[in-house]
Formats: sequence, C-alpha cells, structure tokens
Amino acid sequence: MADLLRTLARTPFTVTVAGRAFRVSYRPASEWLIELNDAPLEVLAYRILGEDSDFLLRVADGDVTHEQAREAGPVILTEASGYDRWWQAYNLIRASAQDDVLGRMLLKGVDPAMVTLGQWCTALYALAVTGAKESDKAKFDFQLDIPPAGYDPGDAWDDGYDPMAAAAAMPGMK
Amino acid sequence: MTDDGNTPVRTYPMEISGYSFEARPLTKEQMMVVMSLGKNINAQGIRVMNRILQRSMGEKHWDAVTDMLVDGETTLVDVMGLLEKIAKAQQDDADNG
Repeated sequence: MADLLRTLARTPFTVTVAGRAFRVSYRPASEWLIELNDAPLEVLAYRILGEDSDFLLRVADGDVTHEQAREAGPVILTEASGYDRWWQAYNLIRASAQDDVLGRMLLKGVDPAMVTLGQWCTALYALAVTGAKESDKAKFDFQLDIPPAGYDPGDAWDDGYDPMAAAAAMPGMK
Repeated sequence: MTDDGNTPVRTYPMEISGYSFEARPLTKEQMMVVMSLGKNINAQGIRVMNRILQRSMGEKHWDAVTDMLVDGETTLVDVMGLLEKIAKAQQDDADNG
C-alpha cells in the first residue's frame, strides 16, 4: 500500500514538468482534501504548481501542454501522500468528503490540519477496516484500487496486487 | 477574422465597461488555466490573466482595456470576469456543436 515512512514526511518536493522542476512546499492533509474535492485531478498541477511559480504562464504560452499538466497530477499526489499507488490515496481523499467520515476521524482525534496527507490516508484506511469482516475488507480494498476515470496507471496497477484474490474474498464471488 | 486568410476563426463578441471587442478563442491549456485561477487571484495570476487576455483580445484592445484600468474606468474584478465570460462563451459554443 503506502511507504509508511514516506507518509510521515513534511518536506518540500519537486515535480518536473516539460523539463522544468517545480517546488511544492509542505501542506497539511486539510489543504489537499480541499484541493482534490474542489476540482478534478487533472486541475491539480495547475493549482499546486501555479501557486508560486511561472507554471501557469508556461501553460498559457504553450510551453507546457495540458497533457503534461494532467499527468503531473498523479506525480504530485504520489509525492504528497507517499502512496506509490496514488489512486488509493485519491480514493481515500475523495471518501473523506463523504457522509460522516470527517466527523468520525475528528472524533478519533485525527485533525486533517495537523497531519500529513499520508498520515490522514493511513488513519482513514485503518478506521475503515478495523473490525471489518474479511470479505468487507477485501471489497473495500478492491474499490480503493480503482483509478479515477481517465487515468490508467499501466504496469503500476498490477504491481503486487491480486484482484482475483480480492474478488474471491467478496461475498457472492466464491 | 482569419488566421491565415483562409481559415475562419470563430470569435466571441465581448464588452467590458462599455468597451466592445471580439475575443479570439482560448487554447485548451488557457481554458484550464482560467478554470484553475478561481476567484482569489494573486500577483502571478494577474500576470497570467494579462498574457491570456492579450492574446485573446489582441494588442490594440488589450491596450485600451489596460488604459481603462489605469483611469479607473473598469476594475480588475471586471477584467477577471471578462476572462471567465470568454471561457464560458467558448464552452457554450462547444456544447452547442
């Protein structure tokens, strides 16, 4: 799932787009939750890299294509969350805005303004699967491993994950 | 209006504080930038807006609008709204085929 040590990192990172490195400063989970629940993933690079650099000017001038900006979204998410399977972090982030999830996390003492994005995701995952039946956990894992529409992680998607095993553990699939 | 004398370029009639002009369409990249700028525009955002409007309006009209800004005849909020109006007109045009 995630590299647990990387999920703790509060250091800036750089993302290279069209041959140019852009620095991304640390921000707590709350800011990522807002960004990714406010706009589609394909807009993430525009918002994050454009905040404090000439990234948007380069896009407006045609030096960075939309496809390059779009593909930078998962790279940013991977670095910010510590999840190589960034789509799992993405799905957990999206789930954070649903129903009583945020309230339950706050009641457990996890404040998104105080933790890294990776910590938030691992805590949310733990909350979701603790005490769950094996079949429900497998179903949750299966749903978590579906990339967002329009994104294909390619080989990375198959790395170390057995969807048949997950499916076999689901009710009605045995 | 044409790009090369042959290919017609769709333009959109726009108006800001009584000044009318024809806006050229934004590129997909510029549309995404407009979408990402949002309402809270910082200094970098103003530079980007400047660049995009300059291209869409053309130098002559952009000079006229910046003069209006300097003279207080229009506001930065109105200019930002103009960018959104161009993007919306273009999107509506695309939606209607």
